[in-house]
Amino acid sequence: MDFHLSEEQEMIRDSLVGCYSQCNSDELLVQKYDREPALDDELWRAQLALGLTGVMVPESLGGLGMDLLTLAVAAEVSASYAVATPMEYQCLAAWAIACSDSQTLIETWLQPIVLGEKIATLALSDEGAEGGPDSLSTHDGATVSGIRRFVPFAAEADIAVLTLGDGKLGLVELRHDSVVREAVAPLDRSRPVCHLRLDSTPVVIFPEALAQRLYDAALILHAASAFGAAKRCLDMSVEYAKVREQFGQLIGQFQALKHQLAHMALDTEPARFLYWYAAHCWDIETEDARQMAALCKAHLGEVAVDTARAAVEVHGGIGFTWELPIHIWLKRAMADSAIYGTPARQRARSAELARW
Amino acid sequence: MDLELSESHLAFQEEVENFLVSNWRSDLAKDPEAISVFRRTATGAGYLYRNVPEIYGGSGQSPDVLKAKIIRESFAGVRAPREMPGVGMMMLVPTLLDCGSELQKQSFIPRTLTGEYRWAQGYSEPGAGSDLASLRTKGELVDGHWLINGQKIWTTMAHKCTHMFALVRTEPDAGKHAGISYLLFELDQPGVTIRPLKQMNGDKEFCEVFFEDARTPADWIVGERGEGWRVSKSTLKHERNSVGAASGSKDLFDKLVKQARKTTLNERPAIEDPLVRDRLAKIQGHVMAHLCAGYYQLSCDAGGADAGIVGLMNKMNTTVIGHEIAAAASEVIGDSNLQMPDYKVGRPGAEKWVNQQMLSLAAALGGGTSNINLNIIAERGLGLPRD
Repeated sequence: MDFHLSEEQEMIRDSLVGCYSQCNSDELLVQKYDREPALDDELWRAQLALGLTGVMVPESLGGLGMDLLTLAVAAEVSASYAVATPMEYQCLAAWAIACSDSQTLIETWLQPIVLGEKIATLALSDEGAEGGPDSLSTHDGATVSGIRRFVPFAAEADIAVLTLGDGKLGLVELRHDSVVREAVAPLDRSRPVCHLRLDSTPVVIFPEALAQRLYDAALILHAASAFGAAKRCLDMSVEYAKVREQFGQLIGQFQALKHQLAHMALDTEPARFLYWYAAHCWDIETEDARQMAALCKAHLGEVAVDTARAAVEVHGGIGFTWELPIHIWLKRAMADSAIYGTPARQRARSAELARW
Repeated sequence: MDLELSESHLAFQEEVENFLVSNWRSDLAKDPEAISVFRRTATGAGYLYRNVPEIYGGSGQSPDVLKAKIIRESFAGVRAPREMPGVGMMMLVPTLLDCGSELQKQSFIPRTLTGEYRWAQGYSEPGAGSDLASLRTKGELVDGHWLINGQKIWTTMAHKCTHMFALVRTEPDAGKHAGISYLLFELDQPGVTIRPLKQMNGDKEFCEVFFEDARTPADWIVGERGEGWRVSKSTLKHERNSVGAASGSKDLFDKLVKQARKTTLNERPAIEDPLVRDRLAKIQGHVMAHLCAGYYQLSCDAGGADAGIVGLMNKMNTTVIGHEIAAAASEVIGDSNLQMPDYKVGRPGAEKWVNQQMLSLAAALGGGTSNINLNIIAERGLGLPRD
C-alpha cells in the first residue's frame, strides 16, 4: 500500500518545475500573453528535449513506458505555469497509436510524434466516447466528413486523432486539402482552438477500439490541469494576503480572509489526490475507472473555477485586471471545466456509469 | 503508487481473520462477560491496545498503521468488539503514557482498558468554549487534597462515567495558560452534581457538571502544577486513524444512495431523478477527494512522513460532507421530514435522516467548532498571521 508518486515521477515533476520557472516565469508569461495565441516554440522545444512525448509509449517502441499518472502530474505542472503547448495531446496521441494494433499507423506516425517532428492533437467528442454514434462518422471506412468544434492547437497540428462513434478512433492529416481549420478567438489564450471542417477527408481507422480509454485519459488530464490552475490561484492568494495591508494590518490577519482562504484550500488540496486516484484506476484498469474519470473531471472542473473566482475576490480590484495573471488561470480553469463535457454533464455520466 | 497490501500484510490479514473465526461469534454480542474475555484474548494476540505497553494491560506492539487498518476493518466486518470506546482510551491513556507518573499509569490505565473506569472530559465551561484557556473552575490544595469548585459543560456521557480528567485553574496569579493544571478525580462523591442536557434531537449525551468542594488526592495531578495546558496537548503518538473519518463519510454517502434507490419521488425511484443524481454525484466527488486524501495520509503515516495541510482538514471535510448529505437526504425523503424519528418504537424509516440534519450540526460544534477549525487551517496550514 503506497499512495505516493514514485521517485521517477517526482524527478519528472521537479525537472518540469525547473524548466518552466525559468522559461515561463510570471513576468515572461504576462509578456507572451499579449501575442497572437499560438504554440510556444521555446517551451515546446524544452519539453521535447526532456523526452516527454514518449512518456506513455512502451519501451519496446522507444518510449519511457510510464503511466497516465506520470503524464497527469506533468499536466498539473504545465497548467500551474500556463504552458502553451499541446504536450498532453501529443502524448496521448502517441499512446493511442502505439496501442492501435496497426503496423501502418505505428510505422508512419509513432516515431515522428515521439521525436516531435510532427505535432498531434486530439479531436474528441463526449458522444463518441460512449460507444454510441458520433457527430463525425465514416461511411466508407476511408474518408470522414463533418465538423468538430474547438480542437486544441489544430492550427499548428499535423495530425488529429478523432472519435468516430462506436468506440472507434481515426487519424486524419490536417494539412490535407479537404480540411478547413477555422480559427476561433480562444477564451484560454494558452491553449488556442480551431473548428475543424472535414469534407471527405482521408482517415485511417484504428483496429483497436480505443475511443473510451482515450477519452477517459483526456478527462483525467484536464482534471489534473484544472488542479494545477486551482492550486496556483490558491497559492497566489495566500501570498497576497501575507503582503497586502489595509486598515493598518495585513489582510491575511482578518478572519474573513482567513476563512475564505481556508475554504479555497479545503476545496483544492484534497482534490489533488482524487486526480491521482482516477489516473491510477485508469492505469490498472479497475472496474470503476470510467466512472472515476468522469467524477474527477466534474469535481476538479468545478473546484478550479470556484477557486480561481475566489482568488480574484481575494485580490480586490487588481484581480480584475489584465495585468495580474490570475485571469490566465481563471480562463484555463473555465476551459478545463468546459472541454469534453461540463461538470453537470460529467456528473450525469458518472451517475450512469455507477449504475444509479 | 500501489493500493494493494504487501505479502506480509496480506498474511497478517489472514491471521486476523482466522483469529476472528476461532474467537468470535455474533451471538456473543449481548454477553458482557464474553465480550471482556474476547477483548483480553484479542489483546493477548496483539490486536487491541497496541500502543499500550503490556505492563499496563496493553499489547505493546510497534506502530504499524496498515496493521491497525487491517484490524479495524476485519473486526468491523464481523462486528467484533474493538477497544473500549470513549475519551478514556482516546485521550487520557495516551496523555498518561506521555506525562503520567508511574503510579498513575499503573492505577488508571489497566482499569480504563477493561472498562472498569469510564472517563469524562472536563474541558469546556459556560464562559470558556472556543477560548478554552480562559477557564475558571478553581483547584486549591488543602491538607493533601485538591478542592475543586466551579462548573464544566458539554461533558459527553458524564452521567455514565466513573471518573473525570479536567483542566482546572490552580495558579490564579499565573498567566492565562500557565495557571492551568490537569487533574483526575472520581465523579461519585458528594461535591459533584451531574445534570444531563436535553439536546435538540431529544437525546441526552451531554451534561453539565457542578463542583462544590469536590475532592481528589494531591498526587492525582498529571504533570506539574501549571503544566495542564501542555499536558492536554501532549502528542498522540499512536496509530492515527486518518482514513477513519473519510471512510465514515463514504459509508454515510452509500446509505444515502441506498435510500434514494428505495424512495419514490415523482412516481419513480428518487435515484432516477436528474436533480437527485446531480446532487449525489456532486457529493460523491467531495467524498472521494476526502477519501483519497485519507489514503495519502495513511501512506505518509506508514512511512513516517508528514502529510502537510491535508492532515488538518479531516474534521472540516467530514463536517461539510455530513451537512451536504443531510441536505440531499432531506430532498430525497420528502414529507418524511415532518416526522421525528423514535428509536424506542423500533427501527425508524426514512425519517431517520431527520436525525442526520441535527447530528451533522453537532459535528460542526464538538471538538473545536468549524470557525475555529478554519482559523487553524489558515494559520497552521497556510501560514497566515495570527490575529
